This record gives sequence, structure tokens and C-alpha cells, in this order.
Amino acid sequence: MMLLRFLVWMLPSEFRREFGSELLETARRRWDDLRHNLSLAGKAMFWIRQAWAVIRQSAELRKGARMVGERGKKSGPNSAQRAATEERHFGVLFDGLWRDVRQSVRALSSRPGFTVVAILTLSLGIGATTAMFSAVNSVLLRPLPYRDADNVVALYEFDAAEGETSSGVSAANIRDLHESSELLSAAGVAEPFSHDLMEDGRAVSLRAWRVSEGFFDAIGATPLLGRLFAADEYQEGSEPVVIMGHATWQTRFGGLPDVVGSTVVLDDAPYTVVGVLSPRFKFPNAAELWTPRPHQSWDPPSRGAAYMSGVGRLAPGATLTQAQAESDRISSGLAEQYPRTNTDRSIRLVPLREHLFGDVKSPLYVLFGAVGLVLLISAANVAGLQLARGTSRAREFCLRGALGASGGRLLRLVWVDSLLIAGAGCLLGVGIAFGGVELIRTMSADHLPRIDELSMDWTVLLVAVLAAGLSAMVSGTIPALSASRTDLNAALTEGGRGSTQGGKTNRLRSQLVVGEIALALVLSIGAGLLIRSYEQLLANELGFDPEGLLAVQVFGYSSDGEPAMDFFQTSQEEILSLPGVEAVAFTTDLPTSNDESIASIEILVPFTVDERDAPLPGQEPQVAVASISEHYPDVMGIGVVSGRSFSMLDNAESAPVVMVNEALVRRHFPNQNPIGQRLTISYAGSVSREIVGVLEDVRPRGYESEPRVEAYFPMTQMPSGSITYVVKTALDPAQMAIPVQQAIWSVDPTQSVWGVRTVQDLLWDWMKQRNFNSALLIAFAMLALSLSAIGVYGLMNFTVEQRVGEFGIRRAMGAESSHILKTVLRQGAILAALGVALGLVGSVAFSSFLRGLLFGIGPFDAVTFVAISIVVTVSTLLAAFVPARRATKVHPATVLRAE
Amino acid sequence: MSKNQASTASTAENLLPLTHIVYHVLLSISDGDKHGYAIIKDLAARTDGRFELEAGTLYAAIKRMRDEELIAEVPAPEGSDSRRRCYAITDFGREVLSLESRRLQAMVELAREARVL
Repeated sequence: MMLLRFLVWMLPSEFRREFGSELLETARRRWDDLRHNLSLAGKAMFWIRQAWAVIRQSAELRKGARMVGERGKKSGPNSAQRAATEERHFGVLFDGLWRDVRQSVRALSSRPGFTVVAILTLSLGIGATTAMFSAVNSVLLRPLPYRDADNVVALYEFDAAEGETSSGVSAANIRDLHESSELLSAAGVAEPFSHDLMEDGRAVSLRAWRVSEGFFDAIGATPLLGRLFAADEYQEGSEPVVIMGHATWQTRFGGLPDVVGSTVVLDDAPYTVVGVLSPRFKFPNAAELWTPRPHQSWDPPSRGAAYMSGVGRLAPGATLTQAQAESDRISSGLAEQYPRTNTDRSIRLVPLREHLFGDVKSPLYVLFGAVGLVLLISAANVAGLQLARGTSRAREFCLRGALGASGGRLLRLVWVDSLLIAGAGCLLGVGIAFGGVELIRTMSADHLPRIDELSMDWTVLLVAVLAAGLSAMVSGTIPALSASRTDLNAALTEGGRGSTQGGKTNRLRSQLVVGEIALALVLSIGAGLLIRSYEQLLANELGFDPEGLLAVQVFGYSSDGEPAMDFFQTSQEEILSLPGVEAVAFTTDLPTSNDESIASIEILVPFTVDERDAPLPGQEPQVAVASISEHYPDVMGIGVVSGRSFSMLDNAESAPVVMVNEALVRRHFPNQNPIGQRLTISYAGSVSREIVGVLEDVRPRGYESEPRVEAYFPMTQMPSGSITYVVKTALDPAQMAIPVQQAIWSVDPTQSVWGVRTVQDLLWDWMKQRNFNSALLIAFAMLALSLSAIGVYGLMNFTVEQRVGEFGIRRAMGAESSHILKTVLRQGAILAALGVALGLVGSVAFSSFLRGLLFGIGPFDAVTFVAISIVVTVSTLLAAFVPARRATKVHPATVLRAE
Repeated sequence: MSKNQASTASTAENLLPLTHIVYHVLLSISDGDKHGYAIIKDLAARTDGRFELEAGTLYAAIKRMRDEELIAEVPAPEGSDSRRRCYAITDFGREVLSLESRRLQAMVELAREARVL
């Protein structure tokens, strides 16, 4: 209906005013009558016929023909026969089509320059649109690989006092929620875990999820081979069983089907393989193994530790709102029962799609919208080229008209041209899209969910065809209607130069170019805003120096479950002895860790300041704690603001001490000296500790994260088996990855290494999504700017060609080159001014969609708007400059000879 | 035959043969005034759905027929949607329709004589 409305708008104004709205109403009512009885193809055909009828009548009405009877038609060879054929409603569309196609192919081949530029321009737009759609389709639109996925909800804990949503849930809270809930048919948790597998005499750490009973039911998993866990396998003390991820089965166990029922040794214990999951099962994310998680005795006292992934399934008939209300009621009960851990905490239910794609959905749609604008610009460019070509074909059309070709027939000729160009552009565009898809895959690895499923399927190809159809419509309709208005006498008597026609064409082309400049400005401002955000972000102080640091994470426990401190000390010495290593330290929670290569171990615990009134249970302030080795602040480049760092004297036997960060001092010791004050932190017992030093704030999770309240224990007083070595080297830290691991294995070959990554890379990992969005939007903006510059160049070149005679005469009359240059550039400046004005209005709308992607600036950042407007104006003037220079080179004698 | 009548008859003959769209539209409103949507429905019903006229084609034809004074706009009947305009066949239109029908009939007779039908 929108298409029809657009076409009706193109009808001659007198007819449109009188019949336009009635025509649309009649078409709509007829559609209402017929649509229920039409197939999909029939429905498409209905609108194609309606649209074609309007286009055909538009051309006939403009010619002013009075075709009530056959004799009223223009005479010509076989006119009666042709007329009868043409009036046979839809049949007209296909009559002689093949002949027109052949003629178009001949005409396009005779002007290879025009054809190649038009096809290339369209293919860029179609290719970029198709590639971007394939990303949207693979990530957002394809069905999820879980049973009745619309009923699945992810579970989070929300702290109303802090206004923060935690990254997960605690096992005990989810267990209580499920037991009390009538609207959740299943609920469970997955706890991040690792199992060591011995391979070639060396322990390999495998990513695993320990899942509670109800987890697989809630998510709706179906095994590819074997079965899921049985109820008794979730009991403590039952036979150890494991389910494999698809990739693990393929790469480590050869993809053999008899793996089910076999035994694998994990952590020195035999596990029976009961099933293999499908390759698309990636919840909470891709893992190598899944093992059952029995109810643990420490679950109830650890309600405050919300680090597990929770999932639930709505009972049949239950809505999300009802289930959320029920969850809130249950959470209130839990807060009364467990005030210390559950005060102000509730469990949030988030639809699975929103949980998986919430972060990437809006950027992806923004990028898809941006690429749609690029497609429009490329189609407008081709329309401009067609218009220019149409001017030179004016005589041909007039002769055809004089020989009896109807308006509809002439329209079809232009449309066939556009369709052929769009078809070729589509084929080339699909090729470009294949390259684009690979580029997106590379750029978005690990950041876009399901990106490994990115592929070109039939839906994507259909979008390529639709994009080509849209391009053909835009690039064909405008020149076609222009051709239908061609004035026979003017075209024939003006010797083909057609100044009247050229004037009309120029106006249309100018409007198209103004539109292109406006769209290019919209995209460029969007890209400019992202670049400015990037600048703002990198200007943020991290609080540490990531240069030359390598992070190596291990989980080292002795056979009795105690942290393997001796092993850590010895391996630290081994690493220190490596050439190029300057220093080594360790910590339990490395800033920049992201759970992918280096697991973040964020422990938030309550604390009190000694000699102050204790807050009510559940209302104590919280602090993020970490254990660090003696040289950690030096190695990381974290400054000691006051007091001292830990030393060898701070050991298990000495007085308990703690270091805090500036954020803790600001909040809890404003205008006081914190050194010598005492804190009691509820972690592994409640021990009163003296503050001996204050460290600078660090951004814990990349440039965008805010410093949190932190306290550091000396590793000697608060040992842990979950540590990350931080190795400082003067060499390239990435090159130290293998020697450092070998140094660790030289101490204990059975010790697995969980992750190795340079701190700089970890930092960039946090920027992946921003990098991806910025890179694509900048690429689209540059493409748009180039295309609009080509449009400006083409138009100005054409104008100069048309006015070559005028310029020659002016030169003969003594006009200066600079005057002619100014005349042409003035036209370019007017186009730029109109385009920029229109684009600024569009930018206000587009930029507001970018709000969520910006950092440190608003969507209407004046600096960006002004700077980009200048860039677009200058690029437009540059594009106009070359034709302007040509105009100054026109020699009067040449023109006079031609005249 | 008066001078006026002769001129009208001559004009009516000049319009022949009619395009089948014009013929169908005239036929449709010859038995009662109709608005555009009703004409489309009527034509589809008369031809068992074989002839589905597009809205664009119909209104372009209506404009031309009105310019040729074959049809005229008339007030919508009471109780119907006043926004939609009704069209009625004029005397001249009826005459043209009759002439065209006779012409077609004569052609059918010729076909019968030639045993084509």
C-alpha cells in the first residue's frame, strides 16, 4: 500500500487531487475483499498489478491521450492490433518484454562506462545491505535451539538499594524460588567450573558448567547423542557422569558415536559419558563439559555470592508479568528470612532472547538502518546516472513515441534498463556480501552471540533480491516518469541537446544529489559521534599500566583442597628466571579479566569500620576483595597514594593488615587519614585488620567501568588457589606466553593453565563491541560520502557539458577563468548547503538511536555536528572542483566550430 | 434528423470501437449508478472473476469517459458513504454503448455466418 501511495503521489497533480484518495480507498477495499482467498504469490501479484496500472496510467495521462476508443489511439504500424493487446490489462507487462530486454542489453553494452559505474555503485549498496542483514538474521532472527524458547527466562538478582543487577544468581535463592513457585515449571543454575583432562602427560583445563537439577529442563535441552542427567545423578555421592559439548566430542574424542557409555578421567577420577549436546547448544555459553551439581552444604550461607547463571521456564499459561510478580513475593519472603544476605534483593526474570541479544540488538539494528541509507544513496546515484542518460536518449524516446510506442512501453524500456542493472548489481552484490560476511565474522568473533552460525541462506538471498528490487524501483521510477514527460517537439527541434529537457532533468538530479549529501551527512555524523566517544573513552585513566604485562591464570590446590602456595612460590621463581622477565606478582582478581580467557573472580563482601556503630544486618557496606602478592602494585603500575605497600613482614604470623583504594577512602573516610584505621571484613572469618596503605583506583572491567570500593589482603594472610600471575616483561608479552607456561609445568606437569593473555589484549576485549560498531559505521559513512561525492561529480560534469557553449561564448566575451570557476562552484556550494541543512535535520533523528552507543558525549554533540558538516561541504566542493576546472578550460574556438 | 442529432451520432460513431474497459464500465453502470469500488466488484462478478480491473486503470478510464461526456458524476444515494462519488451513464454514453453493442452483434452475426461460432 505504501508503494501504491508513493506511485499515486507521482500522478499528474490535477488527476491526483481529483481521484487520488478515492483510487487508494478502492484499492484498499478490494484488497480487503480478496486477500483471504489469495496465495502469497497472488497477494504479491495483486499489488504488482495495482502498481503497474498506476505507473502506466501516469504515463498515458501525462501524454493527455483521450483513449476512450481504439481510434483515439495514435496510429502506427499494427496500431489496432497493438492497442487491443495493450489494453488486455496485465498482459501488457509481458508483451514484447524479451525484445525490450535484448534492446536494453545492447544499449547498456554500447555504453560500458555508464553500465559498469551503475552496476558497481548498486552492488556496493546491495552487498553491504545483504552482509549486514545476514548478521542480523543469524544473530537475532533465527530460532533459538531450545524447546519452546519463548517460555525460557534468564534469572538475575537485583539489589534495589544499590540499583544494580548482579551478573548472576546464587544456588540457594534459585532453589527456594523454584520450590515456592507455581508459575515456573523448572528452574536451575549453572556454576562455572573446570575439569582437568590429562593429554600427552600434561593436564589440560576444560571449561565446564556444573548444572543443578532442573537446569536442562528449564532451558529445554535435547541431546544429540545419549541422554541428559537422570534425577539420581544429581545426588551427592552418585557415580560421576559427564555430558560433552559437540566441539569437545569432535576435537578431543574424534567424533566417535560410541563415546556415549565410555569413561573419561577428569581430575584423576573416572566419569561416564552419558550424552553429547548439539553444536548449537551454548547456554550459558559454549563449554566443553557439563557435569551435575548436587545441592551443596555451603549453598545456603553463600546466598550473597550471585555468580551462577540462572534459568527458568514459565509454566504453561503463565505470563512473564505474573511470574515476575510471584518472584517478587517470594523474594520478599526470602528477605525476611535471610535479612543479612537478601535485604532489598529480588530475582528478575528476563526473556531468554533479551538476555542473549539485549546488548547487541539495538547496535545491530542501527547498523542495518545505516546500511539501508547507503543502499538508498547508491540507488539515487544510479537514478541520477539514468536521468543523465535519459536526456541523451530523449530523441530516441520521442522517435519511438512518434512511431507508435505507448507511454507504458517507453516506461518499460527505462524500467528494464534499471532492472537489468539492479539484477547485475544483485549478482555482484551477493559476491560482495560473501566477503562482507567473512569480514563481519572476523571483526565480531567472540562478541556477537551465535556469530559462528553466520551464513548466507535463502532468507539472506531473498533480502539481496529485495534490495535490488528497491534499487530498481528508486533508480527506475524517477527516470521513467521523466522519460514519459519527454516533449517530442523540443527534443526533435533542439538537435538532441534538449535544453528544456536537460533543465528538468538537472532539477531532478540536483534533488537526488541533495538527498544523497543529506544521507551521507547523517551517516557521517553518526560515525563522528562514535569516534568522539572513542576519544573520550581512551582519555579515561585506567589506574594501571597495561603495557608489557602477561596474565596467566591457574587454579592450584593441593590434594587436601588447600591452596598450593608452595607451588605458586616455586613457579614464580621459575618464571622470574626466564630471560626478559622483569618482575612477577599474583592476584586473585585481575582488572580487565573478562571470563573468556581470564576468569574474573569478583568477591563482594560486607565490612564494618571498627569503632563505629555497626549497621543493621543486610545493610553493611560492601567491598570487592582480592588477595595480592607483595610486588603486585609495582608490577601493575598502581600508585600507592598513602601509607605503604605490603612487604615480606606481612605474613601469616604478623598482625592482620589490609590496603584499600581511594574509592573506599572517599566514601568511608572523607577528610580523614585512613592509615591506622581498622576494618572488619566478613570474608573467611571476620578479622579486624589495620589499613596500612591506600592504592590508586583502577577501572576493573575496561575503560567504561567505574572504579569500585576495593580492599586488598596480603596473599600470605589470605591464601587462595585461584590466582593470576602478572608477568612484567620488556619483550613482547605475547611471545612470553609459551615460556611462562613451560616454567609452570617444569614445577608441576599436572598443573593445568586456565588462561593466558596479554593485559593489553584483555583490555581490547572489552572494546570489541564498540570497535565493531564504530568500524562498521565509519566504513558505511565513508562509502556514503564517496558515493555522494561521485553523485556531485557526475551532476556537475553533466552540467558543464550542457553549458559548454555558454562557457565558450563567455570566454570569447572576455570572462575570466576565475569567474567561470566560481559560477560552477557556486552551484556545488548550493547543493552542499541544501544537503547539509536537510542532513542536519535527519541527523537529529538518527543520532538519538545512537544514544546507547555513546560515551562521554550526547547524541547532539555540537562539535561533531559542526565538524562533520564542514567535512561534507568540503568533500562536495572538491567533487565539484574537477568539473569546474574543466569549464575554465573551454576554448571559445572549439565551441564556435561546433556551433 | 436534426442538425444536432446528426452531429452527436457522428461523434458517437467516431468513438467506436470502444476499448473493452470502457465497454465494461458503461455496461456496469447502465443498470444503475455506481461508485468505483462497486464497478470493480460488478465487473469481477459479471465475468466470473476473469476480469479484475485495477483501481489505477479504472479511475484513468473514468476521467477519460467523463471528459468525453459518456458518464457523469451524480450525488451518492442516501445512506451510502458520501465521500465516494457515484457515476451514472449519460444519454450520450447509452447511445455509444448501444452502437458498440450493435457493432459487436453484427460481428458475431458475421462469425455465425462463417460458421466460426
